[in-house]
Amino acid sequence: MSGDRTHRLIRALGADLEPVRPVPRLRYVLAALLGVWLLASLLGLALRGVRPDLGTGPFGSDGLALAALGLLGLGGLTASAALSLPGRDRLAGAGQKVAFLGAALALGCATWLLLGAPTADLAVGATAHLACLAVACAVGLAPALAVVSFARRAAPFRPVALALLAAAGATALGTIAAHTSCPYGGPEHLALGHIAAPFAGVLLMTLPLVAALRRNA
Amino acid sequence: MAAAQAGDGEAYQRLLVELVPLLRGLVRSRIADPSAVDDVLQEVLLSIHTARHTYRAERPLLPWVRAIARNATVDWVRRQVRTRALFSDVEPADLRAEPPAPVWEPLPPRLSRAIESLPPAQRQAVLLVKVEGLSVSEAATRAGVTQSALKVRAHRGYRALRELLGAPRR
Repeated sequence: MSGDRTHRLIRALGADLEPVRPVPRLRYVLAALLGVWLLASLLGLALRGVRPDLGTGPFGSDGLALAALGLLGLGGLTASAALSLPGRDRLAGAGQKVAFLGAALALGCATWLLLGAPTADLAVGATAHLACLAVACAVGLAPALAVVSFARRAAPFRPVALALLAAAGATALGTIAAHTSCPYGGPEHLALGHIAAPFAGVLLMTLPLVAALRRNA
Repeated sequence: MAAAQAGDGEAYQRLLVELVPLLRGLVRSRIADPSAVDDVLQEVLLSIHTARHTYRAERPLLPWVRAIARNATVDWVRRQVRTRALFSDVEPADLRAEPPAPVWEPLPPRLSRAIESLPPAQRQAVLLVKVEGLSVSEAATRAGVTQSALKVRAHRGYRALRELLGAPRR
């Protein structure tokens, strides 16, 4: 009886079948996401200019911060795009591991900067931190929306994890643009205005991205 | 599956029939209640149907099918847990209460009659989404089915309504 129902359902699904366009290959999706990020970053750089002392950050931390943000960004976006598709769990898991590694490195770098910072440097000002946070979020918004738009076309199963990784990854990439165009210096600003940005991005963006994923899903 | 994506209904039916034993085994390994296996299996088939555009021909089919089956099964289990929690304080007397009046009464008579003539599952999906204005996830929770299943039901309902009301096809 239930087998009959199953076969009736199969017949109905086959009878109603309409052609569909397969989703694009994941590597093209990731390339497109990086393209969106690059465009948004170039716009940010055009508006703010490149920082003059890039690469000479305190304690040689520029390289470490950029590496941590890059890992978090690439890992987060890869994992969120992979979570949009059934059967890409391994890639999603690998992306998550890379993102966690980037987040851990970023936290370590921020702690190192804050503990090692001379007290006189701790007065750059909250406005400067907020300005860089805003640039990081604004640039990160473009790839975040792009990955959510792809996920809405696909079949995401864990929207909260997807949104969280997308928010972290996109803001981390946005922070790279903020970092390379930031006119301010100082270890405290680097830690609070730059390295903390992806964590602020997670707080600000995750819920709206989840809502966007679920809207008329 | 590639042929199914191109719209070949027969190839699609053959594929689903071939997948049924595998899917039944996967569902059975995760669902304790044997009487629910076929219901969940049908949910899995509907999930495969709504997610068929996410399959890429250059990738192996089985991991994709297994992931969908696992997700649909987990969804079903979660829904059962939620439903049990939702109705845990319902008294048997509540269940004997007068059922509420149909919500589509204020609709134009012709539309009302057309909706009434739909199969129950499609009618429920159309009413929840279009008349009560619930989101797909709310409607799916109310109907006790997955979002994918609800979308398929609603889509069929809209199409049937278009035909019943003589509206041109999109």
